[in-house]
Amino acid sequence: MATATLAPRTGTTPFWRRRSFRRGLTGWLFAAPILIYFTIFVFGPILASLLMMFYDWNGFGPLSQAKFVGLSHVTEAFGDEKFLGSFRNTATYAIVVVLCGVGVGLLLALALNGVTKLVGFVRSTYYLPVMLPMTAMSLLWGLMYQPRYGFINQVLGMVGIPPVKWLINPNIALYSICLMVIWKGLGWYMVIFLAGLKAIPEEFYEAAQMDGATAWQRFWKITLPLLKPTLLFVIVVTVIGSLQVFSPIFIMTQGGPANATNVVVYWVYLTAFQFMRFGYATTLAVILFVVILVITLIQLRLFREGGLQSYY
Amino acid sequence: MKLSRREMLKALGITGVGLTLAACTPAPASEAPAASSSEGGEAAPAAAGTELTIWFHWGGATGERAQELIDTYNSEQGPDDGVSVTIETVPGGEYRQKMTASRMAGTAPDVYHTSIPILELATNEVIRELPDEEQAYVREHYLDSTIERMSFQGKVWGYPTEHQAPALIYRRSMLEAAGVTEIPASAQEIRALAKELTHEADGQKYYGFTQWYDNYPASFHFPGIIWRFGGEMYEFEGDIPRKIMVDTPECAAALGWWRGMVDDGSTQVGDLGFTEAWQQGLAIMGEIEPWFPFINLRDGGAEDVYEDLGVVYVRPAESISPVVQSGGWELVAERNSEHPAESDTFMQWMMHEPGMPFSHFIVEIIGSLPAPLNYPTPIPGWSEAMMDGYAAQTAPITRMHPGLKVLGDGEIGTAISETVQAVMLQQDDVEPALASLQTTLDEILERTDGSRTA
Repeated sequence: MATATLAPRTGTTPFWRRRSFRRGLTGWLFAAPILIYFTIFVFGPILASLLMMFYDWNGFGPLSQAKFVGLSHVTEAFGDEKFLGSFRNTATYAIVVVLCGVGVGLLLALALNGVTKLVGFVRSTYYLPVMLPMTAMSLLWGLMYQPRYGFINQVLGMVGIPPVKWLINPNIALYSICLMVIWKGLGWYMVIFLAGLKAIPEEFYEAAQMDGATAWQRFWKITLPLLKPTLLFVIVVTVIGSLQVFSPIFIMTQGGPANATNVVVYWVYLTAFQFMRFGYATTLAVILFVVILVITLIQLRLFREGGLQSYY
Repeated sequence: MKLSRREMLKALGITGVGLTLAACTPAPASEAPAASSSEGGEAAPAAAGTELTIWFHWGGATGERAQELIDTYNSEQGPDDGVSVTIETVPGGEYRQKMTASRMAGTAPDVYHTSIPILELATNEVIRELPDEEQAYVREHYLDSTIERMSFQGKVWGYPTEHQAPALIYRRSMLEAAGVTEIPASAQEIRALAKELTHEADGQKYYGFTQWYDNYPASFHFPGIIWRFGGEMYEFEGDIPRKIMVDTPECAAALGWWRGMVDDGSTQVGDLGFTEAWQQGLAIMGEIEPWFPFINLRDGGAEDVYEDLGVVYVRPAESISPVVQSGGWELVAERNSEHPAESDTFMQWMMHEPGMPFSHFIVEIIGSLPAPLNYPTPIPGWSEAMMDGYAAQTAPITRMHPGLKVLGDGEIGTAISETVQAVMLQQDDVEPALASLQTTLDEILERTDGSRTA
């Protein structure tokens, strides 16, 4: 009798009655809704996209008609001048938007950080374009960029500057779109940087001032290092967003003139929904995803250290 | 009552499963759509209240007029047919993606009004051919070029609702003011006159010839201008395109004609869009389909410009037959519709003589050339000049746009547009641009249509 009582329970108790399993089950049940959601709406499509890379499918016929083509889409992509050209345009766009957007946003935040009057009003004014939809802004700027009667050229004309063909000249069309996007995002950069600046303890500056540090030294040695996590966040988010740019291109130029503003996502859209090459379009999208992932990992690595904690 | 954590989880789980099942369960038979009546040969009478869906792309005022048309069917003919029709508005540029998504989801409409080529819709089994007697009806009652557009593998797959072909439009008052008594009709005459007419007055520049180089017309007009200079863009073997030819002297002459006017400074290229130039009264001549003067001038706030328009077809050199490319939209039935018989009945009401209300809508509201042979004239809302230049002169010389028989037409059109833009913006010269385009188009044609067999 005593022997039976002392026998190890693990050999006889079914797993579903074990405490560890039941405890785990409770956790899984709580996590189930979000897991089901992610499986159906996130992981499922990602997996389907990865599979679609290896097939030729025109989107109309049943999926059973899709033809297996192996890695030929990947090979094709790396020899596709249009795709590579769109990548060059996207890279140019991302560099300009990130450098100018972050730079000007930071300068603006530094300037506003010292403002004590009408702070709310000034911040709201700068933040206003962020709240407006990109579609509306693109349409509006498209009109403002109109070469002969557009608002911008009219203003330039008043000071004797000849009209600029903002969206018509292939050499400047992409930069014109960058300008609009930077203007629109400026408020966002500013608010995030302001939050980062406010988090820097004032005593750091006071101590530096007592040691005779100049304004530039204070910025270079205190502000910038302590702002590193904020910078990382802003740059990562902006780079990802820039590499995925679509709406302003679709609305303002449709990739033109003469391919000058053709970016990757717009080319993916055309490939999928105008040329009905879903397999190839998916391949291009996956390549873009890999590029974004690699760039993001590099950024995380570069900005890994810094911030307030590095001082303590 | 106090629930334990386990009981709470059980209750939530059961509720969740119940809700999921409820959401996924199909509607009971009484709510389900009427069963298909086409498979048994003879069409069964329509179930009372059969609901059909049609895709239209119009919004705004035109959308309202389209709704009135469908309301007329629903109130006058629908009750007899046991059918009620609902419009689903899908912007033209989104047709393909919506078509893909809705067919995958099983929510495709019963009838499409679309401009996607019949070839593409038929080969992908999106649509079904018209019943035999309706195929015969279309062959008997429509213009040849529109019948060809609806045909594939010897069958007729839909009703041609639209028919668009370009002609030269010009401002009569401006030509008169410049002392021009003879309307230019050949490419060379047009270029010379465009240069002569271009001028500045009161700080405004008036453009002798307007070109729509930055959008679809560049590729839509491309085969037509090649024909005008005696060339051919495609070589077909039956229905299948085997060769594409743009690196040719005729094509260089055609594109060179467009570019020459840019070099002359006679166009609005780089200054204004085509539409803006016309709406602002700064355009003197241009070549475009009839929908443009209707939608963008008459109904677009430039009625004075519309009233002042003259229209004439552009004449090629003497040894070349006059011909213009035409394309348009069609009314077709979804292959997987659960109401094929009702869809057919509805489409017949829309397209059959003598009423042919959809043809009237398209011609009088949208401004398309009539596709039916027996369309009554004069057409309400059409000016005399439009009647003469488009309906009398242009319609008889139309030829189906050859791209409509090419699976890779979308990609080909994009490549052509890019090349035309580069040439018109003086980024590239005609010959090298065409040589490069030839390589691109060869690759696209081989990939898209190369493996097609009869």
